[in-house]
Amino acid sequence: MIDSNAYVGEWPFRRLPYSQPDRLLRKMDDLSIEKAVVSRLENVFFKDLLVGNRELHAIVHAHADRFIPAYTINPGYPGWDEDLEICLDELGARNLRLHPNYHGYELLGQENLRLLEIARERDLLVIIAIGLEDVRHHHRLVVVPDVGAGDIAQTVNAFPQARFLVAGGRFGEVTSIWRSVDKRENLYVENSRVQGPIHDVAKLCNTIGPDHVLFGSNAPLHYHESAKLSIETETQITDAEKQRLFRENAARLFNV
Amino acid sequence: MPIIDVHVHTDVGKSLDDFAEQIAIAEQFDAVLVTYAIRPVADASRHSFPTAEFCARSNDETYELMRRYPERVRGFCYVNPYHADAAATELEWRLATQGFVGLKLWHALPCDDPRVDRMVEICEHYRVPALQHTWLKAGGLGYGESPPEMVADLARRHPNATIIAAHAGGDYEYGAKVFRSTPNVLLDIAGNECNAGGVQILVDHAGSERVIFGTDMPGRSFPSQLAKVIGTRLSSEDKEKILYGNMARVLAACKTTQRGTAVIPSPGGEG
Ligand SMILES: [Zn+2]
Ligand SMILES: [Zn+2]
Repeated sequence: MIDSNAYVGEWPFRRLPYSQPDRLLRKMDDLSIEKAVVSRLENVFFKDLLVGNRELHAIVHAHADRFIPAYTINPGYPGWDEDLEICLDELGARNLRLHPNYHGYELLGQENLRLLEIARERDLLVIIAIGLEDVRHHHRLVVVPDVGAGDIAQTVNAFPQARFLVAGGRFGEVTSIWRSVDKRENLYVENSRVQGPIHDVAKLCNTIGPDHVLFGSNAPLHYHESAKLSIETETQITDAEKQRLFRENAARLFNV
Repeated sequence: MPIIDVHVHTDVGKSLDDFAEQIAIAEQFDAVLVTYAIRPVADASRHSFPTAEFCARSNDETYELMRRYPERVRGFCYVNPYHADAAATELEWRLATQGFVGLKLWHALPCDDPRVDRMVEICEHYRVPALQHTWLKAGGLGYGESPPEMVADLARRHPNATIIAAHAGGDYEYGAKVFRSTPNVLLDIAGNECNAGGVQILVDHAGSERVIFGTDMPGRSFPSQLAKVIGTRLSSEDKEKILYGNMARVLAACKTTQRGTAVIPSPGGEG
């Protein structure tokens, strides 16, 4: 099983039971999750993302068999392109993570278009994090709505050759993005925040297709069990389809 | 381990027959569904301020499901307390003659309204719980919505009634503090995202005796909500209480259960 959407690190608003790498790994062991794609959770709020990215590199380096890094880039911040070069050359980045809502830039703004052009040229996977937690429960001073589904669809449409994983989207968001994108070969979604309606996983497979849906946990913010149990107990898809969601699609996408 | 899901809506599709999908899920997870209709299934709009007639038609459908699936469905009666006499008559009739086992309150009136007190007094008489929707939101409450504090005050005015705070107040951390000192409030965990540590916070402050499992199906999926309990590091006794025992005890105490649908099964003498 490969978890396509996780983080390591602390969160400003509450203690998380699986924030640290050793705790996260033990939880993964308990649930038979072999590998996880991880980003530095602190990089949601850090300004200098290179600090968090270097920390992530060290964590991943110590557990190279378990963690696949996704480095966070903020194209709205000065020097992001030089930082990206460092991530590519020194840290060996293959996957990038974007938080347009927390970092406050437009997906279709000039700088991000430049970033996506680089991603396309260098065949980097771009993970767009739609949201991290239910906006209704955000701290009153830090209310950050999910990234607009329409913006994501337009972005994907503008770069049909770039590879995208839409992470942390709810059912309505991911299905609306899927429907609004013309060329979908390089578009993938994961199920961490798809926590309804009933039979959501089967509905995702029907709408999006079982080759483009991945198992993702949004750990440590969410329990892995939600996404895992949702796939495991889905009665309306086959075991072979479950294998694609749990492992095969991610193995292909992340070159495992 | 059997499960009682205290928060299930009927509005699953276009016809009441579509509820069979939720029954199949109940069978898969060995769950009893506490069910309420906040609108008749064919009525597309979600009236938050329904007429008495609209509520009665909704309850007719809940009753139909109770009769179709006596092993799997328990019904809560839905009323708009604004229609004071009509709502009281509707509630009493459903409890006394049809075996409904509770009251569902949404956001027709905020629950500091004396007309809500009257409904809760009826529940107290029949020893059935009153479930009040409450959801603190960073973006502000909807019209007529009751904040958690208001639900806690309702419970203080009726110390012998059992009040269920739906969604545990919405924000678990906030709800845990608000309801810590109201022992007659049960915290229903339905509807929220599966935040790590969320149920632990409720247990730490309110105790495992006061946390009860709910899903908010069909809008939420059963496994995403079950994961909140399964994912938490609690003793198996605590998990059993949350998933089954606490609510089984409440349902067993109802004075209406003998008249209507069969009483809840009681494995291991619990309940
Ligand atoms: Zn509600
Ligand atoms: Zn509800």
